[in-house]
Amino acid sequence: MASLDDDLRTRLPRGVLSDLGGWTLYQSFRTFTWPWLLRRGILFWPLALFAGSAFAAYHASSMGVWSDWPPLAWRACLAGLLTVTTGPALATLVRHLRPPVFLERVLVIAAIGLGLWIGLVAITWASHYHDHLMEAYTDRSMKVGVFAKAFSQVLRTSIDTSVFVWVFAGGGLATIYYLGERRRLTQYATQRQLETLRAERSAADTRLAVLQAQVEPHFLFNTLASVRSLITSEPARAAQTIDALADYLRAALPRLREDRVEDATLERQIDLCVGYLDLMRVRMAGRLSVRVEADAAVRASPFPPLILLTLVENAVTHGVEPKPGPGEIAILAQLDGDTLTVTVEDDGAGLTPGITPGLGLANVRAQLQSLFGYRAGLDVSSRPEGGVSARIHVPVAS
Amino acid sequence: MITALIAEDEAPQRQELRAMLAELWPELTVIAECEDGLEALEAWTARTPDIAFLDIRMPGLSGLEVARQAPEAAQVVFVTAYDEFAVKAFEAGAVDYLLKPIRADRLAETVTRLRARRTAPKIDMAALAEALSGQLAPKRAISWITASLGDVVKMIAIDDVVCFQSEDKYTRVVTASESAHIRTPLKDLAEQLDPEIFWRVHRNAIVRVAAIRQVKPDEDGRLQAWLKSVAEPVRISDAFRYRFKAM
Repeated sequence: MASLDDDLRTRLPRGVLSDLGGWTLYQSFRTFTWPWLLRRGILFWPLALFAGSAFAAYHASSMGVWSDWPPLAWRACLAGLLTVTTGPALATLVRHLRPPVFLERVLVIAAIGLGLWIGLVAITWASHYHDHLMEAYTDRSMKVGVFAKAFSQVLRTSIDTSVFVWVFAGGGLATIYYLGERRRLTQYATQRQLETLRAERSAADTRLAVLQAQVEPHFLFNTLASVRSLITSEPARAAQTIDALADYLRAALPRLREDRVEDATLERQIDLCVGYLDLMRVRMAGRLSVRVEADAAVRASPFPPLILLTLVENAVTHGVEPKPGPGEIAILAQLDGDTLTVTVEDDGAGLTPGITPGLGLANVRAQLQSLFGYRAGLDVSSRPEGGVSARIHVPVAS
Repeated sequence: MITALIAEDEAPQRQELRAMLAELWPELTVIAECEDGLEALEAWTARTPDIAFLDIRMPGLSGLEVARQAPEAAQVVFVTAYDEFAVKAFEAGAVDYLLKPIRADRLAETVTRLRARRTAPKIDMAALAEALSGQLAPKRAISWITASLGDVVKMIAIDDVVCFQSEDKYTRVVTASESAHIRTPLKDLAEQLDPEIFWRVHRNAIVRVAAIRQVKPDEDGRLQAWLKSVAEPVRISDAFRYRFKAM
């Protein structure tokens, strides 16, 4: 989070800039700091020099005395430079001394006031010199050309608004901007904090959803009921069930707390599924057998959570469980270039043509689509030898 | 003699319930132990028990479906690992419901309740039907079409379907890349599809509105819809012509 006492030399975050800020070089820095002053100067100094030179040129051309230009020009330019620089430079000096907030504000306003006054004195001094020059030409009428006349119009307009120009050039607007800086920074910090909280909440929601799906209450209580009934009749199998449940919970629970969901690897998903299948095998009294084919490289690939477990649960509940007799579930994974293919096969009841709600599969499809777009796919089809094959392919960054 | 049926897919749990009942209610005779819903329904029909202990989640038919389809009335006790159905089970007229793992003291209460009742209450079919529709076949648009592609049966996501067309006794399911067949009649499909997304345009065709590329009359002035990634146009009958007036 951005502290209010951040380094005065760093750029402001984008969100802090006012609506009009950002299009000039200097406004992306804190007002009245050295980088701000330098960049503002790059914009304002040429303007001051142009105004000074143009004023002198106007005088020289209309009087037809070009020898007047150099002395008048340097005086007018100096007055312009003093006007645009003094106040902001003093204010910058104040800020870098880092006085307490209230004192800083008072001193900055005083500095700008002083700067404006110095600027005014300098302009008056230059204009006195102009008056002094004019005394020599009291009898001579001005020779004003069309271009000079137009220029004069422009000058008159700016003289009409001269108070505004003077205050603007001397750092008046910058002062207003400066006074609002703290408020904008605070707003920005609050905004950022809110965004962080929101992101954390949505991450927590995701984690909770994963947890809920991995430790489904019905599954958990049914397993407990199973263990309870086995305790007296078949204590050894009860113990096996508890071991399998513990392994499964170990795979499902702690990782969720420590890891980010996006760090999930295929290895973990396979471990989780094998844990689940071990438990189901004990509960189904050995009716179920499990085969996993995935080498180390494939297992290390990143793979989102819940997808594989959904397919394996489907294979158990819709494939092996409804069909009497033994059943096998196979998890097969292979890397082919930058595509990871994971298949869950069963030799169970198979697919029945018609309409299927398939909420779990719909979630798998939606999750794949949101993570990988059209580069991922899910195919569920019957196998010639009976049962169902559910195949997922996802892109892997090589 | 008071008779009972127990339906539970896991043998140890079934035997445990039986053992607990034997202890709490020695006069009760368990006449059938069933592994799945279909077996339970058969036993219920054949042997008309006074009481039925039904696990809700079972292979084949669920406990709720067994109770709904049973020809004879019996006092029903539903058994479930998680009380997702509890309220609905009661509303449907169940005498009791038990949460797994079943505790002896809780089962004793159920026995007391069963003994107090002389006659079996009638299961409320309407409430049960509602429980079924809410829980087992959620009221949401269908998301998959399981269809035949030659020898293979394949699940096609509803989002991929471009149109459905009647063909003799089959319905053809067309996607951008393939076409498959189901036996579900177009009429039944139409009832379950989202009417905002799929439009009936002809007695024998339903199309995805978003997939319509162009609508124009053929030489005889009959309206046709050309669909994205489908070579043949789909006829629009006069009855559905009004839907394309604005297009």
